[in-house]
Amino acid sequence: MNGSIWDRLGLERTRETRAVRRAYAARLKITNPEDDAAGFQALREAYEAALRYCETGFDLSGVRFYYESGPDDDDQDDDGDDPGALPDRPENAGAEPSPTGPLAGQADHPGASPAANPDARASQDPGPVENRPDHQAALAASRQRLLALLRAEPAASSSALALALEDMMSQPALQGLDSRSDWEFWLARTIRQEAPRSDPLIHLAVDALKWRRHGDGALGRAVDAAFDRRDALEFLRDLRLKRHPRHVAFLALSGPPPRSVLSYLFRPSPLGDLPGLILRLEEDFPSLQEDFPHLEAWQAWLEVPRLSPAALWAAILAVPVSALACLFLAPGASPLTDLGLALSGGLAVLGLAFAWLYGIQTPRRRWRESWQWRAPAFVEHGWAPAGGALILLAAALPVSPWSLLLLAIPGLGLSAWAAIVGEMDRREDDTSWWVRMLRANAYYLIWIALLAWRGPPAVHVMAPALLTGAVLSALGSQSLLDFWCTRLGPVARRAGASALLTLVGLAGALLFLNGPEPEGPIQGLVIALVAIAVLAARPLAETLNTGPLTARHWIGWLGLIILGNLLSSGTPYDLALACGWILVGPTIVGAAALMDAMAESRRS
Amino acid sequence: MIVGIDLGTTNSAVGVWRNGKAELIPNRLGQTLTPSAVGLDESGALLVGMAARERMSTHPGRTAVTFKRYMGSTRATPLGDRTYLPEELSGLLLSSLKADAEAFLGEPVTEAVITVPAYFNDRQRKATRRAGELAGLKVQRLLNEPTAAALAYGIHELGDESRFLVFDLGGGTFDVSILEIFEGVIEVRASAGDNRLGGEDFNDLLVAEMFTRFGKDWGEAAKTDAGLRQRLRASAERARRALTDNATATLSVIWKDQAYEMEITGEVFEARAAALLARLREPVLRSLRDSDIRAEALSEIVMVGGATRMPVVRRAVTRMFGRFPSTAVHPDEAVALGAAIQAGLKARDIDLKEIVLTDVCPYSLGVESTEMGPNGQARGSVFSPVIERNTVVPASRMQSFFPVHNGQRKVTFNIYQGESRNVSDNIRLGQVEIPVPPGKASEVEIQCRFTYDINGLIEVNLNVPASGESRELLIVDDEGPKGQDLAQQRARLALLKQHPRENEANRAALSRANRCYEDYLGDKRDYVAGLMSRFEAVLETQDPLAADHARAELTSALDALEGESYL
Ligand SMILES: Nc1ncnc2c1ncn2[C@@H]1O[C@H](COP(=O)(O)OP(=O)(O)OP(=O)(O)O)[C@@H](O)[C@H]1O
Ligand SMILES: [Mg+2]
Repeated sequence: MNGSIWDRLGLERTRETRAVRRAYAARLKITNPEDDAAGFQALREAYEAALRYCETGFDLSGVRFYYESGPDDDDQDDDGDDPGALPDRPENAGAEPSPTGPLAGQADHPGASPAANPDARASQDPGPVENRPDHQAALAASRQRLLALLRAEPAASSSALALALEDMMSQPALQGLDSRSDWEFWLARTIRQEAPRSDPLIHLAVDALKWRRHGDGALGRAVDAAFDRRDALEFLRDLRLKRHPRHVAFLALSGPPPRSVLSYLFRPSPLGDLPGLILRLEEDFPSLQEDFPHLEAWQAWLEVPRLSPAALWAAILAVPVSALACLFLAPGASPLTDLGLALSGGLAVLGLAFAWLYGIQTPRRRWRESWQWRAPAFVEHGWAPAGGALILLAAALPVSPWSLLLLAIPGLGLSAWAAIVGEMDRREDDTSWWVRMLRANAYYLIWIALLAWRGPPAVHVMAPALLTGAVLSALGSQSLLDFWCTRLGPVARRAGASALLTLVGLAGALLFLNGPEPEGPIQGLVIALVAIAVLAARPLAETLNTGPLTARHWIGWLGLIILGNLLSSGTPYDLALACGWILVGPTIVGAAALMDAMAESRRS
Repeated sequence: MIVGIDLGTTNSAVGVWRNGKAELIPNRLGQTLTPSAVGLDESGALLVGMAARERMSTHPGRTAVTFKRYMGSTRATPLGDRTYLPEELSGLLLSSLKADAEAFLGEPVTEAVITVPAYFNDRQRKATRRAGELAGLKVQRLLNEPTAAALAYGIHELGDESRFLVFDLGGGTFDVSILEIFEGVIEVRASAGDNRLGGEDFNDLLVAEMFTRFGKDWGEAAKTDAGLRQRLRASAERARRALTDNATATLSVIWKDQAYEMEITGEVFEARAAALLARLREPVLRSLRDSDIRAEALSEIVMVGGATRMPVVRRAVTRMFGRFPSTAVHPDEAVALGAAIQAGLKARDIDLKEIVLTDVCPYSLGVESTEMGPNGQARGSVFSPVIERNTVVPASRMQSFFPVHNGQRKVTFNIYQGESRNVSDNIRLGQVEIPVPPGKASEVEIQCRFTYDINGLIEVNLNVPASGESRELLIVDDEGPKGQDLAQQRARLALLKQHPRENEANRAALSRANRCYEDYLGDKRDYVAGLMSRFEAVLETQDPLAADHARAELTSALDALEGESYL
């Protein structure tokens, strides 16, 4: 498609619409759409560009026209963050004739006279109603009333607004198609421009006028803007609810950021998922940014990576507290060694906090910036199978302090690996990870603790393995999630879920084959299988909404069975106890599933 | 020879471009409109048109009507002991129309332009195309009905520069198109419509009215009785037509040998129809907006489709536009005549050299995309249009997309047609997958090009500039909805026994008499019985001349009895 639009039309540059149309029509007889599709498309493109030029005086032949621009296009691309959506829609800068102008000009169209119509029956019809001047005047007056209400001091009640809107909608002038279109456009724009005063009108208008998103033209965009505002308001309303996951962040964002380290340390309220909230506001609800005056200050504040107040407190207090504890609680051979121990304990906590910040966070950032996209899949995801292997190894090893040590060191290394490559979260400077990890894995962690406390020796060594599984899955969940979502098709995903359930089922079967015997290698193998399932369960549960069949419920259930089995030592009484556990298991799983489902339906 | 066929919900018609003008082809009964009805008689032989329509209430299990409403679906209609898909029924109807055209033109007809409602989606269009192939017709073009009507109207207005709106309310579908004529170019500016709105819905209204009035007396069994329902519909149709010319009309039906009658006035009917009439507004508004033409700027409102004869519809249109619609074209014939003109255009007829028609695609085409929330949770199933609705065709548009995740290795494109933001409300057309080089998601561009050709064929091309990888998808499916192939379907239809063409008129008259017999009680019934036995006696003599004479007598007697038979 080369050549200027004027060449293609065979015309000198002109702003005369008639000439353009004549040229187009003449060319069309040669480049018939029936047999020359490409030629026709080029011609059509030129024609549309030329028409646009006639209208605006801008030669925009290089630009594709998907949308016309409107005066109310505050440059907000509503698809913003969507990587699957279209980023490149050039908006042309032409001025749009505003259909919201005064209506006086329309009032002088008398409509066809019935006598001119050959159809005699038609003369029974009620005459033209669209352009009766009195109707138009009434509509204009009704518009003014609504505007006055919106701008009144003090603000009008929402019921007054609703009444005013209803009054407008019953105006006979709106029977006419043109007045109706103009009016809807006016309303959509007013709603957007008079926000937040006009907010109560949005729901009413959307319902009553059956507005739909993604319309065309100026009206479509105005309606879209109104919809955006409505969604934003709904989001804001939800944020105010205590149970909203970002409620805490919302409270923090409502105030200014802490100004010094001290005020940070002594902040009465936690930050919650503040970066997530800000991102959401920026990308999904730009119209809400005005509702948060401290937004920019917070953004600047969040630029700098920091430890969370809790981590800072732990680091600061670790040394004195452990010193005190060692001095008073466990008097040893000499006060000096006690002091040394205490100091090293405290320093270890301090070291951990900073190791997290500089040993994990910083490498992780660098990793992502520089070479993640070129890294082989093994580096990105290898920690998961390696973790699985380690857990199996733990099951095979005899119980001894050495084996514990042997497992602990690679376990730590694996955790660091998972933490660095597997984004646990989209945010880098978030230090509350362990809190969330604990919360997400509370189910397993409780019974890991129970096993460590009550279980037989073989299980003691397995408890760290289980812990490894939980920690790994928490640290690497994002990476695994990506893996499930992008590398595996739905079939493989479903197969993965079935494999997981099979694994758990296998563990259960092994357990029963083993009988009430509380110790032995089989017991260890069972726990290892469960630990591996733990590792894979979280991302799977997120990608596959299988309801009550979600793997983690099964794991929880199986854990309870194992516990029951452990607690019973073969006597009839204990066997009954185990059976009891087995019955209790499904009940608990059922209840958990029910609660999940309820939470889900409340959310949607 | 290419013919133009208006394949309607209630009536179909065939036209041809000959000697510099479009004309309609009469069927074997000498009428230009053929009822869109297909049935089997007692011997299992095929009946099409009037003969089938008249048997609808007497033999509901062996007759099919309004199947166009289900075009593109897998809804199976039982006819005798077999079931048929809507496209197969349409295929049977089309073969009968084809036979009529061949008899009239005296030469084989192998190609056709078939009209479809502008608002038919891709699936419905493909089913129509298959119906044509089943009838042995090569479908040269699927033409939008309002565009066809506009051609029929515009061919006489070529000298002027004008913009007009075609308002097509037929038996089952409603279409609105806005057109512009200048310098011999007929350009469709926008189309909108409602696939499920037409005269039949107004009939349903009256049927429901009868049920609320008499439902208690009739009892439960009446609710599921197909015969009763058909008789009610027929009576509703007659009453509705009567309301076109009179202030009141009577609905009557016989149930369990008792007659029930209900009088309905125009006002009551209008009040009941308010909800249906309101649905006429939305597509009109939409087409005006899409074409960016103000209602005032339209020079004419052209009404086509039989249902626009209803005064309530005319009044609604008058109220909407603030003026009276034009009656310049024949509401029943315009579409078929337009199809004939298109057939002429297609055949490059010399008389049509100076005319070019450009049409638009009525639906948006696009892909399913994902929106990412801030925490990486994906809000999937969002529709991103690539070719917006009412783009002039043939058209080709490109848009860039990006993978959802960093390091993603392949991207799946699901292709949809529709207007809803939520893809599940749109029609899925196909799927293509393309591998992409891993990298930061926002840097891996995938160019997606949609091409919509003049026959409504859709092609999707994907291209990743970074790797040079490309994929292509041509959206065609020559398979029936259940995976049967065309040959198989055709073989199945060929099994049906055909009647000789000559006897068709007599059969239609007998069907009608039979229906009348069931519609009446007492004296009138006896009278019809008498007419029938007299006619049958003449038929047995096998004298064609006498039969024609007797048939004319029977028809006029029945006309006198129940008012003119409707098509
Ligand atoms: N005189 C009349 N008064 C009222 N309605 C009428 C009249 N004549 C025809 N109709 C209605 O017009 C409808 C049929 O119109 P038409 O033949 O245009 O439809 P079609 O082309 O078969 O259907 P479609 O275009 O929807 O596929 C029927 O519903 C019929 O009731
Ligand atoms: Mg029609």
